[in-house]
Amino acid sequence: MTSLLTPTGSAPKSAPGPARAANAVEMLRKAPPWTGIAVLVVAMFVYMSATNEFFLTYANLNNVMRGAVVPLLLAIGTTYVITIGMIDLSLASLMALNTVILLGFMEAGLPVPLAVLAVIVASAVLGGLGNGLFIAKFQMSFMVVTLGTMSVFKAIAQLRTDGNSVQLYDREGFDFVVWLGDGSVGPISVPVALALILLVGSMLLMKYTTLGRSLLAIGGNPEAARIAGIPVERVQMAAFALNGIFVGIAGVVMAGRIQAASPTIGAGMELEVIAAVLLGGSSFMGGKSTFVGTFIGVLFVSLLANVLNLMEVQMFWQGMVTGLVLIVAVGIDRMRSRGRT
Amino acid sequence: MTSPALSLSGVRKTYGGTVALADLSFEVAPGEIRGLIGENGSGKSTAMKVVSGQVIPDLGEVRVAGEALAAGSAHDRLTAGVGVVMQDPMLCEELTVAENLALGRVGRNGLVSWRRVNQQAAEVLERAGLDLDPLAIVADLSQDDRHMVEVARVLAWDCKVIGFDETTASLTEDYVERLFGVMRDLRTRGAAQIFISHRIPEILTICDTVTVLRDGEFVATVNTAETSEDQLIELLVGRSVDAQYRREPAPAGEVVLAARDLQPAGLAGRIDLEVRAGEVVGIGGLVGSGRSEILESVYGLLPRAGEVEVAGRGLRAGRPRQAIAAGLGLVPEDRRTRGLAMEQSVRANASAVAYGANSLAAVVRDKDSEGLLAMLRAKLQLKAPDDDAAVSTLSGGNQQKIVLGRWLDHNPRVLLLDEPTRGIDIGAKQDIYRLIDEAAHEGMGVLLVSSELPELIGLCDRILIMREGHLVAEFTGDVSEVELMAAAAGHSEPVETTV
Repeated sequence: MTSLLTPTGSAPKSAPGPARAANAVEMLRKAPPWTGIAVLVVAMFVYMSATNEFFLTYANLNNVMRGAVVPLLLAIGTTYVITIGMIDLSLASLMALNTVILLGFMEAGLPVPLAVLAVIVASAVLGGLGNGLFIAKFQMSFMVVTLGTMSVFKAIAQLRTDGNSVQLYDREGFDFVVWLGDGSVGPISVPVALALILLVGSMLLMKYTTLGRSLLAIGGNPEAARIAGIPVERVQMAAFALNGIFVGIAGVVMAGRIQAASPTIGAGMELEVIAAVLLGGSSFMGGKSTFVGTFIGVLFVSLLANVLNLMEVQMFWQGMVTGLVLIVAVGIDRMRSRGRT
Repeated sequence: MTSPALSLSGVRKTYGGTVALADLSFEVAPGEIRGLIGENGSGKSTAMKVVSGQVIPDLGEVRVAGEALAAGSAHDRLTAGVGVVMQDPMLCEELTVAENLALGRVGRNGLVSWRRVNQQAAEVLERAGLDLDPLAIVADLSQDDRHMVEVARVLAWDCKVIGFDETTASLTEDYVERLFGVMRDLRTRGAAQIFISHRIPEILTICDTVTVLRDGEFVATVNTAETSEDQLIELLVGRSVDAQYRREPAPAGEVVLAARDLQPAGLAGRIDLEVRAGEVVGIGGLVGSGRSEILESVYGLLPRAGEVEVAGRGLRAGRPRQAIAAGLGLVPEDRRTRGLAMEQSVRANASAVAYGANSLAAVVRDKDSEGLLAMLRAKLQLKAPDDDAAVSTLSGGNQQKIVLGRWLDHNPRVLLLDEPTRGIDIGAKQDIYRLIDEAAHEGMGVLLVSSELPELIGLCDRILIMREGHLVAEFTGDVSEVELMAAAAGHSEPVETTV
């Protein structure tokens, strides 16, 4: 590095040139892990504002944000799980199941707000016990367990509705769910506000509670955490239960948006969500995660779809760009951390 | 025969600032069995790894039959006729014996002739004195047989230079004899062999010559016919006495840790021990003798039989959090893999014990850890650029101070320390000795495992010696390194001394 910046190696070590370069390198290393992806988001934003008259309108941006709510809720849940070095492949299946569970509770005669709450609790139990218990207590691989529950959750939902979607818009009291999923107060979208409040809440939980600090400690080194007395199994189950809560909320919001219970809605979304979280700079290995990054990662994926749409590019390019940016972003992060020694 | 079968010349290897081998040279003739002895950390395993190609020396070269060996993979070394049998078998558990013996030696054109593989395996097994079915799955074999399959693998390559790194450490007596049979057979075939063992009697039985290493330095090479156990132990230990640390014993209080009939999973013996408040009790012994297993089973990390009590309160096995609540703390042997989250901050690592003691719902702020961090800097002399720096950027000594300091801050009744000064510099070592001493004077009980004899002698009020899973000796008062080594290596009957 130095030899590229100093004239033929004659400059003494204290020369300002290399020192400044070293500072720049140091600054790059200390920059948050989502810096790169944030730059891309800003670049897309600036370029589109300048070249497309429709982009910078309330209608368009509100649309982007509303579309980003469900992925964001799921990505917040995934961020908890990835903090302890795991991922949940069952999240999209569980979300679809949650729309069906909502139908079940409503048909059982529960008042709608109570049914919504019950769905979130059920989802937390399914995530925390269904996934967390097997992983934490029986020491099974999270890949195996969540791959299994991905299939099981989907099957339960399909069995309940014979594989069909069930319309909900005409059910009594369903207005509340629609309001949660697609309503607005003045110019502010209810689900967008809800998701942002939960995002900030998660940031606070991670930084200011023992649970949050313990999640990070376990992600950094589970054995060291155990020896230091951190209740590793309980915290792992808590991560999956928290994830379940967010998948439950996502299920309710989704039901409100599509006004239906659908056993297949969001199929395949888990990979998109995990990609967004990794794009945001959380580490696949655990011990390093960022909710701000998760937000920016989701924003990137959603904005990209909008941009391609406005530019009348085939939507299939979205997957291509997301995938390539993901590999490059994680590759750069890897090189940064290797340079640190 | 002008050139020796194996020669090392001027081999030097450093890890960071630590010199593992300083300028080692020796030669082994065809048909010679060379013993290699030294205390833990003396560099003998590094020397073996230089021969096997696992470690690339900073300086110097390795020649086999006069030819210099280029740095290369284990496969290259085997092809060049150099094979090393490791202490722990590195076999593919789910494959057959024959498949393991054929690993890396695929047949012509990349095609496998199973008839030939199995036939060759049968031949090699016979040479190794093993009555095994070549089609047996390795996972189904006894530990002894697995070790011998590893030996057979080297035979299968028809190596001219063969190393045995502590191969006998986990073999039963019967199998040690079988191994010696194979080694004698190899000697008549003209192979040069290097044999590492902590057990001096074995060295004297099988080796023609023996090279002694100490702290990475060559000490001497002697003919086994012209030496004795006592002379070898003196060569092994012989360091100046004046540089040693000595602490004043603290007044001992009531029993804070008691183990009765303790049998850690995988160990043969049943162990009784007690630690009193203010007492520093050391556990010595060779690597693999079961020292760490005592600490880990008491703490609840390893399954065990028997009873453990902390300040009169019985502990259930497998419950580290219960052990902590009762007043235990553990500094594990390998701080990098088991003590710290290396890529996380000084603050996060220092606070881990405090987090463990909190309720999960408890609120934490950065300022909660200020007192702890200030204590680490003031009392433990922790040097860290800032509290948010990753601990991987700190020196080993500073890393260890975080692992130790977070327990001192928690103030347990009994602190279990596993090799607390391994791989750290002298200054940090002295700091840690001082902290252990202070903690004992404040009434903490300490149970300490160490491979460094001066450390055991200097720090401990009482020293227990483990050998092959059994507690074989206890020393109080003045004891010499030679006495400790003799008890650990087991060439004499256990000595009970009291003052």
